[in-house]
Amino acid sequence: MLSCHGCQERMLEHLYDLLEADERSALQAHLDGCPDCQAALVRARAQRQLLAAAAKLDFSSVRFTPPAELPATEVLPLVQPTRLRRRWPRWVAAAAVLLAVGLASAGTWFGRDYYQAQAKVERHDAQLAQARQEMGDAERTLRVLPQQQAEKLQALRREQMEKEIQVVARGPKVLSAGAPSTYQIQTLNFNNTFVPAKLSARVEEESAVAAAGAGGPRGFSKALDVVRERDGLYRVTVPPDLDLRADRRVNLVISARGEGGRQAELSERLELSRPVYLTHLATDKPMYQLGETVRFRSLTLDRFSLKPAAEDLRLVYTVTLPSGEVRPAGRVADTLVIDGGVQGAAAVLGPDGKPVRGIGAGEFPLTAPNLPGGEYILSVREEQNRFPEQKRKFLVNKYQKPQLNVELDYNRKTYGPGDEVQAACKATTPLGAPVKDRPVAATVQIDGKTYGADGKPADKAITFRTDAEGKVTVRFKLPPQIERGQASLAVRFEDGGPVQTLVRPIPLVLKKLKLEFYPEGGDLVAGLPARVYFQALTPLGKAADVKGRLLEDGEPLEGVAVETLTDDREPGVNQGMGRFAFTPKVGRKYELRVDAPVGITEHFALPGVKDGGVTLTVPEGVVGPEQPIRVTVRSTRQNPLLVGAYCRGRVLDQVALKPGETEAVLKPAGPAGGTVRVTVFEQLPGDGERPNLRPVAERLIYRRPAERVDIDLQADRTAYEPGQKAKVTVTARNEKGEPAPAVLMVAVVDKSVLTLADEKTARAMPTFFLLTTEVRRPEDLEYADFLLTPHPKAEQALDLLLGTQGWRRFAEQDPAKFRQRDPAEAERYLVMTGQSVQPTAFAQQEVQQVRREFAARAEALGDQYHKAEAAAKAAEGDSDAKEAAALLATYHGYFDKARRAAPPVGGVLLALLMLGALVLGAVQTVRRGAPAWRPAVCYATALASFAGLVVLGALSFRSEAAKQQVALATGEAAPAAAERMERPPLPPSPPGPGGGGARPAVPLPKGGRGGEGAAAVAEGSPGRAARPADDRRQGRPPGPAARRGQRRQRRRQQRAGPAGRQRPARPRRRG
Amino acid sequence: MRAFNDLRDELVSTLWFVLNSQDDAQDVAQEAFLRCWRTQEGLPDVQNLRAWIFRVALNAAKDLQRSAWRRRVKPLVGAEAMPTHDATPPARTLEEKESLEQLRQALLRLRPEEKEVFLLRQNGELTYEQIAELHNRPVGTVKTQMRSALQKLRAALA
Repeated sequence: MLSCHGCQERMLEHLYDLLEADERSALQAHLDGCPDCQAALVRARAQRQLLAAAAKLDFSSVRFTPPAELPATEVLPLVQPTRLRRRWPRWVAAAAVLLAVGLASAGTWFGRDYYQAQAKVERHDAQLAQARQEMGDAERTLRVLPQQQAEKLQALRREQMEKEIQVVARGPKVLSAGAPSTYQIQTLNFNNTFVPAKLSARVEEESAVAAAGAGGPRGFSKALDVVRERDGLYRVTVPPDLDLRADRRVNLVISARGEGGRQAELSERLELSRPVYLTHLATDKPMYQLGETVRFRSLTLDRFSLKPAAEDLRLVYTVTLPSGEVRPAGRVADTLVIDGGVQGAAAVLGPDGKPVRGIGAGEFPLTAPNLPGGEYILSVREEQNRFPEQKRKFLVNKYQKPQLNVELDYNRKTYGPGDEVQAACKATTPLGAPVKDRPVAATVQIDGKTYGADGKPADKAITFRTDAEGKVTVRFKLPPQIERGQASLAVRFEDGGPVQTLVRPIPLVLKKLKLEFYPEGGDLVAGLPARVYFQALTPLGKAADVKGRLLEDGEPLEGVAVETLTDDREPGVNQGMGRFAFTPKVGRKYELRVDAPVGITEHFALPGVKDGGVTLTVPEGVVGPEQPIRVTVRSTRQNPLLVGAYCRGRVLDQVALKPGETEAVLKPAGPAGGTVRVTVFEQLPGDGERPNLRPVAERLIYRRPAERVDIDLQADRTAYEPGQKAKVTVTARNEKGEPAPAVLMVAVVDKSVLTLADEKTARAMPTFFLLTTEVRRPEDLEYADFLLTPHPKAEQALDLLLGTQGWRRFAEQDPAKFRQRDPAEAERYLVMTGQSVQPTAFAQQEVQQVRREFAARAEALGDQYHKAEAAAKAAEGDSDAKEAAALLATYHGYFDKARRAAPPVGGVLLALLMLGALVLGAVQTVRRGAPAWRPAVCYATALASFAGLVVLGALSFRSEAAKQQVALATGEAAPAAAERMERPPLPPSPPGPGGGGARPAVPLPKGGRGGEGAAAVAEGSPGRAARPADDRRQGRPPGPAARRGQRRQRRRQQRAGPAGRQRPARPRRRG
Repeated sequence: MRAFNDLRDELVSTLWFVLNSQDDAQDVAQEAFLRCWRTQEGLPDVQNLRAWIFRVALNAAKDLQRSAWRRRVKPLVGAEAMPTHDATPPARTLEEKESLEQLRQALLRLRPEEKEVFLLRQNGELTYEQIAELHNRPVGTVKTQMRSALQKLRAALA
């Protein structure tokens, strides 16, 4: 049933016949009975009428008239002209806009392209010009350098000759604090004959400010006593208490004045605090196979500051073959460089912004034919011997890589008959996995017989099993009687497939042993408590473990335990060293009886006891950087004492003790660490005011440095497959945990090679620089790195090592005696510490200084030349610039063409415009009803076009006439001139840095932008380079610059008159 | 020709609403007339002359609308002034005139297909079947569009 609302909603649809039949009948039925809806129907009809009215507008003005006579197709113009008239401007406007947009886009595009190419070429030209300028500067300076050097040397010699006297000083290269330094001074004439002179000498300190050249206050200045040995030969001694601290620079100033004649006064200055260099040499591994490459690196540091050398060093590496043949392994500068590609190598800068120096690196391929196997020695020295030669041994073997990595360490340094031997073994696979729970067979061979675990002869090997970590302790007892002592232990490991056998000699001590005793401070003084350090060595010089008793006049002294320091697990502890304390008595004889190893019947005598003297005890032989050094000094005499701590030739601190005082607390300032010498001087009355300092006790201790670098290596995986890439992150941090810059040498080495080589004497850089340079036979010191570890026994072992260095007692105090005592070690030590005597001839030194200066300048200029040359070559080979130049030339070609085409095209256009305007004017004239101004405008346009045409023609005619005139006047000269203009002057061949041979000719620039007619490029660049000459040859008009030249030529001819015209013009060279 | 003159107001009005331009509407009407004139030989075959004329005129309008220029310069809806004179008798009240104006604006705002269906039905008196055939659409769709148009126009009257 339809509701009223539904019905009324559908009224309009009903009226517009939108209802379906059933809807319509339902609506009709509803309408019949519903007056409201009937009324709504009436309203809907009204709405419909309204809609009809709205949809219909009045267009009574529109008339449709048939095209009576004309064919149907001709009716169209009645409508179309209107449309066309209205629309063609739109099309024209659109076309114009399109054309404008197109032209603008193209102009922008090509303009951008052109200017970019132009900028690139300009940049390139500027670079090239700068490089050439630098080359030229360097070359010019290099050429005059020899002359300048000769002049300066001549002036210097003249100056020296005028003085008629020269001074030669002989003495240590540098001062060593805490020790007297004696210098022999010779005064000579220039025939090298001694001449008497009035001599005075003093040591002067330059403060840090003065040293920096800021003219700051000067430091101390002490006059030295000059002892005359004979005429022309004098001696001065720098006292040991000179306060030579870390930051001080000290000079020896010698003034000499000839005693007879007109001899001038001479003042010479010898720097006594120059750096002394030490070099650490490292190879990537200790053992190689033939065909491999030895990679090595050396680091040269100043011995005191441990900073890289501030001057250039020329490192020379050699390799000594087992046959004794020496082969060069490279000669490099010590400045670290990094490859910078085409820019050349660039120096690596340190945190101070200066190039990192002191590092040299190289490779020695073991690929030469017939290289023997055996022990090779790699050496590094400096061309001018600025540091002692350093050596490093490595082995070259034809070894087979082991299938298992096996390690073996004995629990003691030595064993005697009847001792139990423990060998800690560990086996791992090449990938590092432990060989766990596998059988191990140990065979003990002594003097050709096999022994069992109980020390009795046996036929079978002793069997063990590895634990979960792949470790096993091989235990066996030595027989009570051993004849010759040739003993070895063979341990055989199995891991299913791979079998590995390791054979090591058993360190046996039979009846011979060498014991050395070093009373702390140097002497045993009766009645003063003493500590005695000792070292036990086998006849082969290997460390031995001993236990024994101290005998006083043959009777054991109770309460004195004598035992070397040992550790079953850490072989670095077992250095065969120990310490004991007792108080010696007057007139007694002290000996050591060895209880273990058994069988040693010899008694080892301690040094004799002195009736009087001074003893020194440093309770803590290893101190931290913040810790003071406490020294106990006991003396039987009543003289004041001076206690000083000296580190690598510089004073850390000095304390004076009055008679009776025994405790000295030294408080070193600064971060310097390493081996420290503590020396006690007895102050004896001297000749004058200055006391005579006599060294009476000395020992070495170790001060941990305040500064250090901790290196951390972090691999991105725990295990790698062969051939897989590995990434290792290296982090360097200082002692505060802050990131620190570092130069690293990283080597990846098969661990099995390290195990196989079993190198015990390798040492890291800190150990080398801080410790081992001060100890005797450092190359024999095993496990040296262990001593600087935080191991609980490391400090004790280090104290023992330094306590047993009495061999060097007072080495600095009297080098001559030291040389007599231990010549080989003394020479090594004195050279290393800069204490070896060397002459300094000041006159010659000045000459050498001048030569060095000029050599350095020449080298710097050579470098500058090479760099500039490389930059020029790089610029010449710059393909981008070449492309840009070619592009630019193409554009210029287009511009020329456009310029040439402009007059005829313009003429044609003007002619067309003129004709068009004339025709249009005529049409407008005859057309009825056309406004009068239209033909006037047309005729005016035609007239203007004609005028333009005339002007254009006149200009073209004039240009052509000028061309012909110039061609007639210049004849053949113009191409020749242009030819010359193209070619820039060849740069002269500069000499090399040594001032020698000619260099290859510098190639001419390519793609330059000299401008047409100016000094342009000679080759390569199309278009612009050869334009002027080519233009004439090919009959093309000359470029603007050439035209300017022609105009000038013409003006000159006009001024010169007819005669001048007949004379061929002389081409001028430009640029 | 007589048929054209009889239909003039309806035809040109329809074209005006479709093209929303008096000039275009008149041009298209002329064009339609000429097309019909050229083919007058075939007129006896035309069953419904009125529908035929409207079909020709709308085709001509479509041609015009397809041209790029017409599309480019098409003004906004209602932007062109309404013809000042309409076909309504002068006795109309002011209120009616306002209603007419509103309706015409509403007509212009209709979607093109709704507008065409309404105008063809209203002015052209075409049946829905003829409109469907002209537009090649189902009759139901045409009726739906017509309903939609009516609904919007009625809303303009409310």
